This record gives sequence, C-alpha cells and structure tokens, in this order.
Amino acid sequence: MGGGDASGGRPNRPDDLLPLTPVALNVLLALADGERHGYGIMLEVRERTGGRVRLGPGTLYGAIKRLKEGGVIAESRERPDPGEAPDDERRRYYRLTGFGGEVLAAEVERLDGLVRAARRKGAFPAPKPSPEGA
Amino acid sequence: MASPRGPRPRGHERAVATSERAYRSLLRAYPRGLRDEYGGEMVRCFRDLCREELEDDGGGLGLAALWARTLPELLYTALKERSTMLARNTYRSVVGVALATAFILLLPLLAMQITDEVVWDLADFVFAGALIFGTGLTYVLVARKAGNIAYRAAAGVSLAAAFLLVWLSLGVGIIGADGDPANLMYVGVLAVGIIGAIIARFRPHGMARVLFATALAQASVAAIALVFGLGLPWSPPVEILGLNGFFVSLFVGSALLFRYAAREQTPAGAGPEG
Repeated sequence: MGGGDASGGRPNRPDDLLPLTPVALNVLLALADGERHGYGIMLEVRERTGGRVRLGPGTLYGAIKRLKEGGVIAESRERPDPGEAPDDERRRYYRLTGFGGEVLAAEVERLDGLVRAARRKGAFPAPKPSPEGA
Repeated sequence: MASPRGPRPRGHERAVATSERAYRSLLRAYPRGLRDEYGGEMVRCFRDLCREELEDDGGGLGLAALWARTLPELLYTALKERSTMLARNTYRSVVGVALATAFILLLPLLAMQITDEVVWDLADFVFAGALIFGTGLTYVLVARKAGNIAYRAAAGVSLAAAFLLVWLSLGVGIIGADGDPANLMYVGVLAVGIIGAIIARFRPHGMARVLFATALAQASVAAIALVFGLGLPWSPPVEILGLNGFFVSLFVGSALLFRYAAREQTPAGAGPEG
C-alpha cells in the first residue's frame, strides 16, 4: 500500500495491506488527527519528522491514489479551516476511513511488536560493541 | 496547514507562475489517469511549495533547491506510476487472451477426437497457439489505446487480415503448393505493416497510410506472381487474384477505418499517449 498493492479490488482485512510503505504510513499518520489537503499532509509530515521526510507532489498523490483505491482514505466534503487561502474551495481534503483507522492501528501494532522484539534482544537501543570484538 | 499567504512581491509571483507552468507541462510524464484525477492538486501543492521557498528562504536559491528536489522525484514517480499501470493492465490482458487462446485450441483438439479429418501434431498446436495469442494480445493492447470504435474496428480488421495471411501463406500456401518459397514474399507485406505501425506510433492518420502501403505491397506480390507465373499449376491466376484481392480489400478497408477514426478523434485521442 502506498507502494501500490491495492491493484486488484479492495482488500478485506487490514492485515492484507501490511506492511505499509513509509510514505503510506506517514500519510495515514498525518490524517490520524484530522482531515487535511495534500499540502497540509506535506507540511504535517515534514514538521513531525523534523524535516527528514519531505513528500513531493508525485510521491504524495501516487500514495493518495492507491490509499483511496484501497478504501483506506476518502475525500472529505468538510473544510476544516475556513480561513484558508482564496483557492482553498478547490482543494480536496482527505480523511481516514473506518477501515483506514484499522489499517493504521494494525501497522502501529506490528511496528510496536518489532520494537519490543528488538528490545528483548538488546538491539534497542543499539548494543555497545564488546571490548573483545572491538 | 495554512497556505503561504500575505502580500507577495511581484517578482516572486512571476517566478511562481513560471515554475507552475513548467511543472504543469512536466506532469505529462505521469499516466493520464493520475494526471486527470490529481494533476490540478499536484500543481496547487507545487505552487504552495514554491511560495513557501521564496518567502521563507528569501529568493531564487530556495526555488532552485525545490526544483532540484522535485525533478528527480517527478521522474522517479512518473516511471513508477507508468510501470505499475502497465504491469497491472498487461497482466489482466495476458490472462484474458491466454484463456481465450486455450478455449480456441480446444476446438481442434475436440475435433480430433470426433473425426480423422483433423490431424494436428504438437507443432501445429504451438504454432496456432502462438499466432492466436500474439494476434489477440496485440489487438487488446492496441485497442486499449483507442478513443473510438472506428479505431478498434480498423485495428481488428488489419490484425485479422495479418492473422489470415500468416495462417494461409505458412499453413497451406497462397501461391502454389504448401511450402512454395514464393509465399515468403508475404513476410515483406507483414514487415511493411509492422514497421510502418511502429514508425506511425499507432496514430490513426499514420496507420491509414501504413495500411494503404500494406495493401499496395500485397497487390505487388500478386502482380509479381502473375508476371513470373509463380505457383503454377497449383495456383491459377484467378485464384491468385481472388485471394490477394481479398487481402488487399481487407487492408484498404482497415486503412479507410483508420482514416475515419482520425477524423472522429476526440481530444482524448486514439493515439498511444499516456
């Protein structure tokens, strides 16, 4: 998803779409706390990641297209920020669907499991090199 | 998530407008579906990014940096979108045509169980399968690009003619008996059509000319066979004229349909464009 596996028909279970691509996960996280338009998603991702992730329009809308096709996000008729720029009426806002919320939760749970496994194995934080191996 | 706002210097707005125009024209790299659905949004996003760069970083350097980030991203994502679309559509087409081919090949297989008149060996099935599958897949891929029925009909007629030409010339021989080397002249006829179609990029205007040229090549083969008395005594002149005339009429008919398709072409176009 986001990388493009919603090609043939809609998936039935959130697990069918996992793992999400980093782009798809970032888009879903951006929409987790409210509806946003494309530029708003770009800004949210950039701010949240401290500028490390900058989505270009091609990357963003490729992901939006696939997420929409998979029923993970949908267009919203709402205009959450009435004081926006004059052309804002023409902007399209996106929101997580119920299914999209389940997909995001399943992916976060999957990542959480990975982090816990890494902790158990002492790989998180990174293990210090032993004196013999140095 | 506010858009960059407030009074903007005129120079900035000119730079934004120029960048926006350039970006809009570069969007042609993307498949039409994505462009039609999200092109306007992408341009709007890019315009916002341009304004932000000019206002926050104060000038052309920020804008240049944005372009330096955007161009590779655009190239990469356009290739990715196109390859995804191609893989998706081609997979469906291949499966559909393969099933149809298998169904058609069942007919001679069943006939062989019923009558001794039909005797196909493995090579016959392989040859027929490859020919049917190749023709079918070509039709599906070409017709998918078509913007109107005339174009599809033209493609169908020309491919049916090419299919029959290969089948008859290699299978039983149009000139003389089976295996007469004179039939190899039809390879030239097909080459005119195939190479011409590639040069014309399957656009209806060009395809009309290509099919007229193919008809001319077909007529030339008949003329050569008649002048040099090829295929005698198995193929009398009337038979050569009749069979080749049939193919000439198919190719000319296809050319006329392509010409009609070119006139009917809507802005959506019948050409193989994005």
